[in-house]
Amino acid sequence: MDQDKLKSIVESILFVSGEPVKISRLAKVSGAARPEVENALMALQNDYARNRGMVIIKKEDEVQMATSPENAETISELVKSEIQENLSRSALETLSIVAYRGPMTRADIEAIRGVNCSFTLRSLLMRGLLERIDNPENSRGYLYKISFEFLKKMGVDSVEKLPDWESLSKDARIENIISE
Amino acid sequence: MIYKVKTDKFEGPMELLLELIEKEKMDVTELSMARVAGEYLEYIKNNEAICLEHLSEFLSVASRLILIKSRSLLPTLKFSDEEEEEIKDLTLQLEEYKKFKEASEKLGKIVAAKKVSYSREGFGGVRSVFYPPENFNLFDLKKYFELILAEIPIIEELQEEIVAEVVTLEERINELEMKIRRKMETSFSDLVANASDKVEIIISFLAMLEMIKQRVVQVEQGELFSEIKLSMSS
Repeated sequence: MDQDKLKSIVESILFVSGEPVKISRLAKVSGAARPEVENALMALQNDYARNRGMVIIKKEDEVQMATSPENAETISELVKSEIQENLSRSALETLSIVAYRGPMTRADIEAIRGVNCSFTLRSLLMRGLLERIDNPENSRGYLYKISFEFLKKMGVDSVEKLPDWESLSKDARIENIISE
Repeated sequence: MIYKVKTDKFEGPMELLLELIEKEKMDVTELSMARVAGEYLEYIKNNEAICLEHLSEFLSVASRLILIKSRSLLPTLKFSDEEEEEIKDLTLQLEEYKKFKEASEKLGKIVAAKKVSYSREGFGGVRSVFYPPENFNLFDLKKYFELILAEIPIIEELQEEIVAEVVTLEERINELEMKIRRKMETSFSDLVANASDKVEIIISFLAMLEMIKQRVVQVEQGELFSEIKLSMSS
């Protein structure tokens, strides 16, 4: 395979994976031989060394795409600003729904709120107010629940101790929406 | 000149009209519409495949084409403002249709090429930092949950009954579809032969209308109050 084409394929794989990828896996997926993949990775690292915002981190047999350490300060500012803003009304609503009804799927949260919640959920996850666990009924999906840390911060050790949990968590209005 | 329109079923009048004009390698103008008006009318007349729900659209365009044609034959003919407006609308509508038809063909090619870009989830590798909202307690949580509950409309008894009827309509649609599939062709009176009451006949009729709308079936009725024949849409 053309060296430039292989380099571009490896770059796309590393981008979309986000997590560390084994070199053997890169070779298998791209259909190239391992030494070719290693050459492509080196070429990519050389490209990135020239004032680019990404780097390729290599550890033993795994490689990962990450932001350049030169930009660490800016990136951590970005993350901080994402976290430190006050919680929006939609974030507070989502939080309360998950607190009283969780663990639950994103689809159910969206059915109740009637809008897409992916950004809100992400920001609540980043702030450590929600947790995401695997959905036992769907291997590709997640369930969201309130984080133990947040419950503790509010002075309770389980969701059952939220005010009026018994009646609110079983409110028929929500049952109606979710069962649809 | 003998010219035969391809016999495919046209989805709508605009598609047919545009095809007629483009076969003649003409642009969309009043003049070109006048030239294909005859073929357009011929198509409607000979093509029984035009289903009922489209026929009115085909006829509405036909009436405007006749206006255009008559003006091209009798240039001295005076039209009312409303008629002038209708002719202008048709030209504009056809030009717009042509643009979107061409755009849709390009879009179709792009989709067929399956060249998709993938993005990834935002802030994938960033570890979460515990940052709880300030001045927020359990009762705020409860307050927001109750606000959500309050926004959910209470379903009244009456509405539940309507819901039940809709289910029956759906069931009836499925039932009718099965029947027609088995027989390929049937009539409305046949479908309701075993109906126990008027409501069932009405629901069957609504089901039939819905199926026409969804283009599951085609219907034919020779004249008013005569038998309605149903067949599966091809």
